[in-house]
Amino acid sequence: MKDKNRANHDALLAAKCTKGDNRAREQLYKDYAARVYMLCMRYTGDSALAEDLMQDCFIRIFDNIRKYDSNKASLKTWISRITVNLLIDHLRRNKKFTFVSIDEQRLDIVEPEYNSLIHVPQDVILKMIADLPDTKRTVFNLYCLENYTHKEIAELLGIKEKTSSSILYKARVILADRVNAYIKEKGL
Amino acid sequence: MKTDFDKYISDQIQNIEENLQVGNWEKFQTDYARHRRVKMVRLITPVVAAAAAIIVLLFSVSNNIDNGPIRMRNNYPLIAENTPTIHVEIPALRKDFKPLGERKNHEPTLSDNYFSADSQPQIDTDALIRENSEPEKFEPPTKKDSTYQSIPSYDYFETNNATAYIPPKNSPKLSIGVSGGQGLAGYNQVDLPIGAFQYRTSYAEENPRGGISHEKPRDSILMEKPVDNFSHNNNIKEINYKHRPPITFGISLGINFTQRLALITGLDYSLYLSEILISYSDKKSSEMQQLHYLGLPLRLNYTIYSKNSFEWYAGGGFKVDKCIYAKSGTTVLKESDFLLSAQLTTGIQYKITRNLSIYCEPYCSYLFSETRLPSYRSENPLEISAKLGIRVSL
Repeated sequence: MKDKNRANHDALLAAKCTKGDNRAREQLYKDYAARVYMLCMRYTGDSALAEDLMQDCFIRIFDNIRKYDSNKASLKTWISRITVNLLIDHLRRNKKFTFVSIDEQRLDIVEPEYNSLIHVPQDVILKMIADLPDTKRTVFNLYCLENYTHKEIAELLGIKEKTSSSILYKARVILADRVNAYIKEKGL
Repeated sequence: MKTDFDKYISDQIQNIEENLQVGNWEKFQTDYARHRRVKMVRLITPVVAAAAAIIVLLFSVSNNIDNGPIRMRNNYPLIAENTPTIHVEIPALRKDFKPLGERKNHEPTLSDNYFSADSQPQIDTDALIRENSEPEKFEPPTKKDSTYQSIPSYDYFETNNATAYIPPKNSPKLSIGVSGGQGLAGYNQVDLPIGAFQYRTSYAEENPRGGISHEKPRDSILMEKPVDNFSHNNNIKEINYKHRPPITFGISLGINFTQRLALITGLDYSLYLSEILISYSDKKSSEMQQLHYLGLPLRLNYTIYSKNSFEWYAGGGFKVDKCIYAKSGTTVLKESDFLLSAQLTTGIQYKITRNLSIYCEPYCSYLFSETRLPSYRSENPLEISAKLGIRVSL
């Protein structure tokens, strides 16, 4: 019921934005600014850059709001897709991606214990993700947080599915190592 | 496949998002407004550039085609008295330039009637034709040129021979006016007896425009402007008009009957500037003629293609123009007639808002009416141009 109300609210908001209603734009901006900012932050790892990119994302969102179809996806999903696409474009333009096959370097993941993991502050986790190399951070974000499949990631980044899978694996290894190191360091 | 570690991180990120307070709406609003202005400029610039390119191209083509005839039509020179022949190209009498065989059944045209006061008897055209078509009196300027034939002159000429250019039937491209043709380029002189000029200047002094009787030369249309403005000067040798392309502004109103069919109307303002060059025996001078027209177009548009905010359409209709103010030098002129023209157009339109659009319309217009005031329009009844404008749709 709550989801349905949310969907109706978003559809109405989008319709008003299409008509150029500035108050609706403001409402949409305030509703989704955190979501967009977090996406930018996670993909770039730079708060200043994330703020700039957030503005660019909203410009793109409002320029394309008339294309939004509430029957196909929720507004949150649609905004996330637009944001991710813009971020991928940004990273690609700035040549942040380096795709190297790491099949032969496959390592075992030692996942942190859940009981320890819950004591790791959120901002530390966010920082650990932000500190991942660009390519690994992007694939990790797309797969784990945006729920993209490897096929979709492969199409988006212009790589093979297998490469995407390998990159994700490596990103998990690095992240797990860092979390474990943090837990060990803090004695959690 | 997602692991527990992935899910945990995803949940954590979700929590962060829900509690995060970021964003500066005021700053974004300013940025977005600037972005929209830049976007608008980016959209308009290529449209303006394309329209400018089309206009330049059209003018370029038009000038190449019309170069000769325009010079001919715009020249109204005089020659000394008793000059045996005249070579006349008269815009208002273009309808008269027909093979002589056809002229025997000639009926007065609008131009004929125009320069004949109602109270005065009509010129006996057939008699004039018979009188002037005698071969021994005809001395064409270029005998080898078969495109020159004699036409009747008028009773005030003592040497009653005149020639006019008859365009070759296979004249390429040019279709502007009956007398058009590229062969005109070599005949840009109109030779008239100076006595006739004197007669007309005195006449014009006594009778303002519109009171010309049939006893006066019908081809005084050539002299009408010069006579009015440069009378009492017997040293005038030649008077040339240089017409500039019109400057047009307009506002257009579109009423959509269906999704594709729309009635377009509005108000157009046109300014026609002509430079009048007067050659005296010892000097030259010039003055500017300006004609201000208000036009009311009425047209049906059909949208051929539409996507997002862009539309491509074509249409056709009519336009009525009225001269609201005319001036030549310091003399105010009067033109009471309406000008009726037919228009065919195609255009692209971009919707800025739901009701406001900008458009670029290349169009083709043909002027049916005759006008006493020579201008670019009267000299080029077939006009090909383009318009840029703003349209409010209701």
